Amino acid sequence: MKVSPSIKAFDPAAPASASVPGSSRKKPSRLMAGLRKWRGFLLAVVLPTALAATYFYAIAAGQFASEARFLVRGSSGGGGALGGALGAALGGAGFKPVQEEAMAVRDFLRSQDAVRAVRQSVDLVSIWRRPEADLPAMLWTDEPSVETLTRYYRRMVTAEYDSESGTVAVQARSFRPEDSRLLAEALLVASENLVNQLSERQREDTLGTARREVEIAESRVLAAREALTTFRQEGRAIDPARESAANVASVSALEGALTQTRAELQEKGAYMRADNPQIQLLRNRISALERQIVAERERLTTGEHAVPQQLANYERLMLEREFADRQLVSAAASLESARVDAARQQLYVARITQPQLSESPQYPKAAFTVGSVFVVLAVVYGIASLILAGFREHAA
Amino acid sequence: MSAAGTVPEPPSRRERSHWLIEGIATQGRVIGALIMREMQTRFGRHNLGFLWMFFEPLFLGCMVGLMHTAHGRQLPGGVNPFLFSIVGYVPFFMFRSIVNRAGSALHSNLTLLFHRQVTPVDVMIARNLLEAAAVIGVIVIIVSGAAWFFEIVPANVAQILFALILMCLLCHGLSMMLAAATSRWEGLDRLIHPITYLMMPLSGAFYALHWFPSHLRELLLWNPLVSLHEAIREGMFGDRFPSYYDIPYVVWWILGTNLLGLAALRTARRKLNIF
Repeated sequence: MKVSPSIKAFDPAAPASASVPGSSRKKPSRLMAGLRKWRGFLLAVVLPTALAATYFYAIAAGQFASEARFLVRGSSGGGGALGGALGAALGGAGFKPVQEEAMAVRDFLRSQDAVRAVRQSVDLVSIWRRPEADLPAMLWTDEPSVETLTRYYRRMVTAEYDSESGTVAVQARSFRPEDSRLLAEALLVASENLVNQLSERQREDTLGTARREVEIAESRVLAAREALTTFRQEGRAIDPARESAANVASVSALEGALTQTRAELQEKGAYMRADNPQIQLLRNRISALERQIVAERERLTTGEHAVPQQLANYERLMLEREFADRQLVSAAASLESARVDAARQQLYVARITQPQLSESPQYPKAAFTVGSVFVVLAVVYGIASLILAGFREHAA
Repeated sequence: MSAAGTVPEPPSRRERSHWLIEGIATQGRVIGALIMREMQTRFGRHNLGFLWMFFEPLFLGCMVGLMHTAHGRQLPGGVNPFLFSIVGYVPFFMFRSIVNRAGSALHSNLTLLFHRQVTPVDVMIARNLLEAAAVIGVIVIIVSGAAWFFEIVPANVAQILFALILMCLLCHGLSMMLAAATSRWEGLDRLIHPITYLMMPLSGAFYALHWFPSHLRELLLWNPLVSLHEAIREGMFGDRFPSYYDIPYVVWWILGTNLLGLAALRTARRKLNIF
């Protein structure tokens, strides 16, 4: 390279810049030679950096950010994630199984669904096409498809989950501070809706089974009572147990009367003649009592309405009723505890910082961007020039 | 380069095209010739010859995989332990062999470097291409074998390849830096081996970052090799378990090491030419 520039090129330049009074130390020919020598660097690194600097410092419209932070609260863990101070800087998102809901909200905020949800209340397209917006940073089309809008949205809206504090930070950028606040507020409302929906769903799931259990127990109780009533109506018995006790008592009363009557007959037969009408009377009474006892026994032990049968049916029905009652009681208790659980698992968004109106534009980060453009280009230029020098070496 | 100017013009045998095309063509020929030479000096002409190049990492990888399988621990996500360790070990094998050989690269090719058209960069590129080809070939064999026999289809082949290429570039940059450094400080060569050996547990070859608490994870991710191994694993196993990597960070490393390596080799060559 040192030999390549010709001497002739410097000559016309020498008197021209020698007349310039400002250039004090360097000879003009040296300046031109320097420019020529470094022209690759100037073209590939300095020029793009200068362009970037012009854009960022002179042309780019300021973007105002509005940030909100919130916690997703619920019983499923208070976000006690460990460590991760270097956090999202390196590995992207620090995944933690705790606080799934907060992660879900973050994923929602990055999704197309969020765009659709926010679009219902905020006119995203006109917000990002304000007249003061500069061309490279604004939304390019007037009627973007949802996909285009989502791509742009992901540039302007960031949602981060901080695993250490368990908070979700959502940041919205636009070209006016009030727009940004509006957008951040809309995003917060959308996340609140999502969390409420999740919570409602969870509540339904928890309570649904308990409610169904209670319903089953209730119908069982009703059926048991119904069956008991039918039994009583059909058997014409209110309480077969007590009734049969009464029947047995009446039979034994009849037997007592029979024994007494027999004794009386014995006694009277000792001093009365057999054809005495009193004796006849007693005999008649005895035979009547005997028939009555046989009939009663018959009635108690055989046939459709026999007492053992009746009693067995009755006791089965009573047992069924008792079980049904117990089931109802336990189902009601578990419903109650499910209700308590659901109340405890209730999710809600707890706002930590409200979206604010920013007073000065925070984006684009001019110095950082220009600096990194310069560093990247310089490194790439260095590698490229070394590789090219290698080629040249081989060609020589 | 100043030396190049003083050399008398070679007799022109044919029409000369633009120096850039000429240079690329010559460098390509030089690298091709160096690769042939490297294969013959390393593997010889008889027996299986350069097939050994594939067998070495394949055999080692399979042995390591079998050891881990025999160990019989369960991996999260139901991942096959054999495949898990082989996919981790083989890229690490490339890193180790490229970096370990870097120290002796210039020394063993010192005679060739007296030719004006053979530069240290050519030597490094030839050697590293050979290693990279071997390892990529082995990965292809293993991945297609797994897909063919066990029906374990990689989730994203392009990602595996991309991460492997990034790894080659990173190792290339590192090896150039080390080659230049060893030509300056002889004793450094002795340090490279233990350092690469110690890198083994730090490089993420045998574990997934998912198994670690997040603070340890962040510490390990400072090592670009960890990111690359994670990316390869994600390409292989998809989202069976979460992966953590930062490709832009790795690209920074690649750019930095390559720039420093190229620059260092240029200065090293001047020193080499003297004696």
